[in-house]
Amino acid sequence: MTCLFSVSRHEAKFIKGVIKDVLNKLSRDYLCVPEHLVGMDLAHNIYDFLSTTTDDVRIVGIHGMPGIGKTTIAKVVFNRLCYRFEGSCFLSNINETSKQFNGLALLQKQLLHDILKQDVANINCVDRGTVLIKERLCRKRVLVVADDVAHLEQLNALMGERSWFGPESRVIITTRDSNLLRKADRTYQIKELTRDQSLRLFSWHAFMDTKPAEDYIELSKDAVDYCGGLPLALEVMGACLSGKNRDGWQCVIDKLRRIPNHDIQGKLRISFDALDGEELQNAFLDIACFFIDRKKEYVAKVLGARCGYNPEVDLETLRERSLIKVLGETVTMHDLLRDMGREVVRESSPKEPGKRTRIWNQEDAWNVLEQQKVRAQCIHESIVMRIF
Amino acid sequence: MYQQLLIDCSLNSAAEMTEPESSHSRPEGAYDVFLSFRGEDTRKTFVDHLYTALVQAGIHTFRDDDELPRGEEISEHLLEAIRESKISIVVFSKGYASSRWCLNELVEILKCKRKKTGQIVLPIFYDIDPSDVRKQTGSFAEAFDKHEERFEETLVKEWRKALEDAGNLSGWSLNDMAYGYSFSL
Repeated sequence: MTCLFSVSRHEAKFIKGVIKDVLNKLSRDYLCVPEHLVGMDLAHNIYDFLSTTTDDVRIVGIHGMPGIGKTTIAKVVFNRLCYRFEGSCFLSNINETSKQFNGLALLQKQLLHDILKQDVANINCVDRGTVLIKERLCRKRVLVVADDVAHLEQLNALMGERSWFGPESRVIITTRDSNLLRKADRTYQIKELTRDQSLRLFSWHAFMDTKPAEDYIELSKDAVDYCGGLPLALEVMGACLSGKNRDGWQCVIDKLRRIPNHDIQGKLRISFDALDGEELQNAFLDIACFFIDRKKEYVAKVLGARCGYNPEVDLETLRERSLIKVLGETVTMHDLLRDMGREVVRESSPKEPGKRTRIWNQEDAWNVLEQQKVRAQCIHESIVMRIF
Repeated sequence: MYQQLLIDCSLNSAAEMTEPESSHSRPEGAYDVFLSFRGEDTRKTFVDHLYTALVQAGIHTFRDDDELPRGEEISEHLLEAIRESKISIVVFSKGYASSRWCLNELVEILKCKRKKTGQIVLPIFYDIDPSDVRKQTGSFAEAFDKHEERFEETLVKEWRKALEDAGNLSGWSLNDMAYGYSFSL
């Protein structure tokens, strides 16, 4: 009896260990992704590229403007791939986290912890973390996503060289700045959704359906046009219009034409705030206010005259960060980025256009000029008074 | 130095699709675990307990019923179950190698491990030395003597290779802590 008991207890303990191991291997940190996704072709392409068996480490870069869906695509690919690796780690919001005290070291710790599945001692400096990652992960076949990278030092602290990870490892980097993707084997720029895709995504959020309700087709099209194929905007708009009646819709859409939606603007503005230096910001604002759909040569000439140096580098930086597009010879930008830029200018003095740094619409320009004429007259009169 | 290949695919995500997609993260009907084992050796005991424990833990498990009559070839249904599983657990017992169905299954499982679906293979050595599996010694040697008489050389070679590969994988061994075992059995 004793023997049989010990056998079964022994076996039960053994099976417990196996189950733990299986669960560990299965639950490779699946990430929650929205239920209804549109335009996932790119995710399939990336998946195909990364799942091809090769001994080397492969790095893929995903770039594009804020809210275009970089992180979502990275999550979808991560979920499909993660269970095949010895270890996987999704480092989200790297730029945000690295601003914290010792933030990069925290990220290094997370990378080690998620992959090794065990507690890691605190890392008190980045250089130490770098050594630990190199030592511990260089023989591991891992999948790592570096989400929202904004500076090279962030990449250098987490994945300075390919050799830090074992053979057959895979890395995905998402960023708004394509300039950071020089080491990537392939880079993918995410484009705006088509009108049909936009309408479908919008409808999921506004109506929980693939298409708009009968009475709302025209209004939906207006709302979708405003979003310009940006998934973030479509989700925010859909959610904010959901459950409102037709008048409510009209009201929201009319208001948007004058004052942009705060949630969308906030997210887009991160890119503007991240521009280093006043000149870059000024170049962006000038284009947003005056130079959309102008010839690049012309834009460069005007900007050059103002800033006193060749603005070619600045234009290239803005392009790398997906803030402007250069289509052939023409400079242009997403409507919502344009609105964001103009809002930055408007906010500097909401009530008095005359105090803003730029005036782009005729009405404001006229009013300001009128006032200045008055002011000029006053000055003139006062001068005249003083003379006599 | 590695190549700094910058291919901007600029792939437009614009291709038309008729249905909204799901993330495909966990395809419907796919199994978490495929259990491969020799029924005669383990069905009534260890595998039963393991299977029950897996199911209780919410792990979607496929257990092949090798008591059902089978044809010469491994069935399409079985192949699909193997291909769609994320993990294969192979329970090596003394009689595993004497079953050609088990061996065929193992060949298929290792194919899936090598393919881009990259299946995880977890061997369990149930009262057997992993080196017997790896080198086909002990009870496996007897089984292979018989196979070599009955089957084609290429097939037998394929089986041997599969066992060698599987025996080299890290897994779980039950006789490590088999106190009391020899008494009861």
